[in-house]
Amino acid sequence: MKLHEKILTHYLSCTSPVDKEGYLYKKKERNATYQRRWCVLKANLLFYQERPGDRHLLGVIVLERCAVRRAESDAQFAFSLVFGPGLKTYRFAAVDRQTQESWVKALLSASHCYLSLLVRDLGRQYEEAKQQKGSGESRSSISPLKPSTYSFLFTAQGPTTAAVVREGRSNSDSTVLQAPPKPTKVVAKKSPKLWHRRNAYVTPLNGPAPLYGEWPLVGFDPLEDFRKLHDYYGQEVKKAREEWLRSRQTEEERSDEDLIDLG
Amino acid sequence: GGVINFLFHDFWAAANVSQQKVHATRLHCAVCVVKFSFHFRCRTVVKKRLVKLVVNFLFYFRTDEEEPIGALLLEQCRVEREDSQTFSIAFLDEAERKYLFECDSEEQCGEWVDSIIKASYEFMRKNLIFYRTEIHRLTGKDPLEQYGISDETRFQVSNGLQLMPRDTSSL
Repeated sequence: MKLHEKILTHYLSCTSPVDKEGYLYKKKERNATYQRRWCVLKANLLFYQERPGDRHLLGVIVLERCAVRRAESDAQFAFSLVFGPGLKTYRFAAVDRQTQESWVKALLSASHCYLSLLVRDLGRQYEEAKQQKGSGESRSSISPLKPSTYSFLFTAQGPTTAAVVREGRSNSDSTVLQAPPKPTKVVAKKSPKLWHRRNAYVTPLNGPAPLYGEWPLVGFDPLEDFRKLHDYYGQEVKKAREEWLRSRQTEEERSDEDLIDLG
Repeated sequence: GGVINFLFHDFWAAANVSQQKVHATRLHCAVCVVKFSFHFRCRTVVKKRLVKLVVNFLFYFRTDEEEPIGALLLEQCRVEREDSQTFSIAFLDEAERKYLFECDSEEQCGEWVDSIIKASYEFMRKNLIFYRTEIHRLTGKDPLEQYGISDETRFQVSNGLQLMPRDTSSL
């Protein structure tokens, strides 16, 4: 199956946020050795290369439906990404406890599903908060976005996005995102104007997604919510922490040998 | 490269989204058959493909095959409505190349454009940051605190013009 590598490498090198990067040792299953790799975590993707800035991408792991486990059995400060029975497990080792912890934590919250649920939950809270605040709050100075008037650039942050034209707004100030205009449907209505203009459909830099109810949710369980997912991850974290505490005790008993084969 | 394909295959197997049923995996999946064309330097190749949207990837298949032919990462791309039934995806690194998708109806086309935009991880992240900031402004509370994830670098508020702080503690 072809995974368009250029798209991946472009995403890796673009200005969208890097969630974590650094050297890790990755286990080569064939000969059970560890090789040092430069790893970059961006969104739900774990890229790895020989060195930072390498043109060539050695691989990318899509962090969906995998468990992150501390695994000290064959190397110190090791952890693994477990995809389940019949599927490959990816094993890594860090140079110290702090690095290991940091990576495990970052990987646990990396999935698209996790973020998706979190956004849904916050979207809900946002609507509730708005309603509670009441319609008395004056935001009428900002008019609704009209899709036909705008040409948005669908990219991550960058200087170019500051050039997006907004009625009565400036993007150059404040660290706090400004209040949104009334959200309009992104999906094209029957207006012929929209098609003929060949507009790009993108998100306004500072605006919210369209209203909660409009998100297409084919196959999504409406009863599932972030709280449940959070509890589930809470269990994982709790379990991982207990494992870590246990391993800390055994670590002190362990003799001083080099467990990572760098040859 | 061979290595990437191999790794990705595991993801696909793990995702295991079938045509008939979406497993309770919390993966958003939409399926449709489209005419899928590559515009490349004035040449157009048109194929009929099954297209599946899974998280922030667009998989495409021959209509009678279970294994995808390929996958497109839906980040750093521009989605445009070309006409009533056609949309396109262009990636920022390949200005010359555009992928065109011809749908069966206007409605389907609209749904796809919408879904693809919302599938982007970066899009969701921006929304999260927006909601977080707004909820804090409206209620005085940080909604991520209750989940204990306020400090996660990936959810930090930025002013939109700066890069997020990079965590280089492991260097």
